[in-house]
Amino acid sequence: MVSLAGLGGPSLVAAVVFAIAALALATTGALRDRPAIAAGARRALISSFGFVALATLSLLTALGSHDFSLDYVARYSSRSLEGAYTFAALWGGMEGSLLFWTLLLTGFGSLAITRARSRDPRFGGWATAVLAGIATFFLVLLVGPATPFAELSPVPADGSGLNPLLQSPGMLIHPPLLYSGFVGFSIPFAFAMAGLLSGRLDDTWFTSTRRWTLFSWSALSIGIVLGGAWAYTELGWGGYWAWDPVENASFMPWLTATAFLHSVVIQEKRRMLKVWNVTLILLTYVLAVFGTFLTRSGILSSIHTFTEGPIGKWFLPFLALMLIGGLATIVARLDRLRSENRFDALVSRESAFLANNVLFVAAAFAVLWGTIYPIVAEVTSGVRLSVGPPFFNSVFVPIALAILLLTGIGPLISWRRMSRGAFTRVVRAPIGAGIVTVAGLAVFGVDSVGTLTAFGLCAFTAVAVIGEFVRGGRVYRMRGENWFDALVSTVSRNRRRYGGYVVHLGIVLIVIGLAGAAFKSERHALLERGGSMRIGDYTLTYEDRIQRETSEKQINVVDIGVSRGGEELTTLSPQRNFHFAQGQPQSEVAIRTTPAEDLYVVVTSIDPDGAAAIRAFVNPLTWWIWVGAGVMLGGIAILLSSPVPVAVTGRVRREVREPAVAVR
Amino acid sequence: MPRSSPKRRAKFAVGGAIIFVTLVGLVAWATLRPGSTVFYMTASEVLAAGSFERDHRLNGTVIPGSIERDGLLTTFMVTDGEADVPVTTEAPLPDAFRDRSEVVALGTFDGDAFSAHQVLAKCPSKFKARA
Repeated sequence: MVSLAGLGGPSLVAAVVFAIAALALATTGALRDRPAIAAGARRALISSFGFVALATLSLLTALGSHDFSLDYVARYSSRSLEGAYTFAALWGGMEGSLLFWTLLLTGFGSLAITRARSRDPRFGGWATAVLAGIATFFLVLLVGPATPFAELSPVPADGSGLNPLLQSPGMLIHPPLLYSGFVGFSIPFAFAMAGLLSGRLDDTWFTSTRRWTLFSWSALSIGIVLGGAWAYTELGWGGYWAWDPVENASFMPWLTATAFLHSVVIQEKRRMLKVWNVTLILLTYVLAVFGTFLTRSGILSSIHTFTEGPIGKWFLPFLALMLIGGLATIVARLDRLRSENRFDALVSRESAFLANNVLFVAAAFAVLWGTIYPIVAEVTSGVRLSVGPPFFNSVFVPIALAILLLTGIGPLISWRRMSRGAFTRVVRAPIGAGIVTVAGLAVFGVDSVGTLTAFGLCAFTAVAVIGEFVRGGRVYRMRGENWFDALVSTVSRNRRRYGGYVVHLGIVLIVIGLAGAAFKSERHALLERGGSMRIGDYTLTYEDRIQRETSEKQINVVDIGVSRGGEELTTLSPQRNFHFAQGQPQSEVAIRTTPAEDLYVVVTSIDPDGAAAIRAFVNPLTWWIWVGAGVMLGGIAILLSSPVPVAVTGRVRREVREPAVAVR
Repeated sequence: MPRSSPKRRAKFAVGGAIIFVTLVGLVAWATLRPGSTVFYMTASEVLAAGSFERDHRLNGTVIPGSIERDGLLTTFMVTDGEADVPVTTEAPLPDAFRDRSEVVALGTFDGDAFSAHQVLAKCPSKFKARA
């Protein structure tokens, strides 16, 4: 493969020039209301995308042809690296990730702007200006302090290789998904800002970017779950979520975006909460960029921190500008963002949505607080401290359980108001299911209040959501369809609503899996060959060790026989390998997974005499997390397949109310 | 724009205030709970403290050649360049742990040795093989 490394730097310079031109033209076009200038801005943004794509291509060919004259290639790849990972090194380091970010940003931006070109030129102009402004920031970083095209001399014979932990299939898609999610939010953000700046304050900004919002949220959701799955199968500490600052960085925008997805429904149906919605999308985007900043600045030490990058000081002013500029724009238009309706009653669908929003935003702020508290403490009092999982669990679990409760209750309550009798009728079955679950678990000796609450609420919410499908399907059943056809008809007629409920069911399953962690157990033991250890009901026996070598690493496969009650179940083969390029060992986990529990085995070290230190975990119900994620994915597919909403105009929709399914 | 009745608005205000105070209280309580925040110390600071039974994080560099293993028990010396503290642990050691790695050990100090129940070593992706 030919290396096009030489094209990279100049392409980026061209890209930044076009981005600045797009910014200037778009602003002028919008201010003077001149469609021709706005069209020029659009073309400039597309050209900028073209040059970023060329720069990306040039870095990819440099990686593919092992052109170690580029510092980036030498640092994040090596000759022995397997095919796909060579290209995954594009997001293996800071500079490459920023390039990838910018590629997505200019690409998504060009696409969204092109599709919106028939709109009011002032609106399109401002949207282009916001996107080009963000692109300019990232491109300035890429041509300056964070260029991926820095040259290296003398040229080394081989590169350092990609961190072995990152050489896993999950890593091929986890970073691109998270970045797509982060970057995708630039579109609704830019359109919201464009709506404010151009004074076009109807609801078109979010209806026309609804797909982008859903897509970004979905990408972020899947990305986060994959990150957890990666941590679980690669890192070997038996868990999937450590409240690491960078995990939090992806989680915070997810929380506010989830709030946004819900509250936007109120704006659509009831034309309320307009200020709140633009604020939420602003917060989501600022948190997404903040996430990139946290990951890339090295301000917090974390397993994800690639380098103590020189770019941290660039991000803070940019974030401040977006936040202050965004809020100022919202404040300037406050008078035109008035609600056209009001809250009628405390017990109403609107209130449930509002409470959901308050809780999601509170959760995001709690996570933010815990994430930046170490910095606050160090800056204000010079104390160096860390905030650990105990903080996050004790603040997040109660909020999450309250959200779970609302997930169950919300759909049962009708819009505007609801009679007590009607409410009682619909909550009877879910409450019954909750009580039976709690009582059943208590009989089996579960005595933790938190765990009982979690499982009780899971049962409550699951039954409540399933009840929605049953009630929805009843109409079709009465028309003589069988139950399956009725279900399909129900879901396909209102994909947004029922797709959402499927996502809720997935969340319930995930919570079941998370709650199972309360019963987790762990053992660490040193075994001679033939020796055994017990964990839970299992007996683990160190049967054999097989050693072999590849060009990259020395592999030690340790065979562990697993038996329960004298019955041989399986043989697990965790590995303890030594990577030559990095000069460090790495463990490969082995997991026996069942719906009831995972048996998770890691070799933490092998003595010269052959004795192996084995760390074993029994993780109950973890399987449900991945199943729940699968169900969520199904729900997401239904949501994304729903027809593109027609922009709500005027007051037509104002009096349209969803029939209160519950009160029939 | 239609206005809510004063009574209804009051209900929402009270509800909102209760939720807000509860949430702020929750975050404050969680922050101040023992175990939520753990202080970082250098080797010198650990020695100066004499001993402690609450978990702290000892941050420093592993002195080359100081790592000794005996079954699951590992002992090593951590230095900040001025003072050295012996660390003992039975916890699994991270893959990046070796001579000269920068480590963070979580545990207690009895005046002689730092007894760690968790050891983290500097992120492997930070590691540069060229060095």
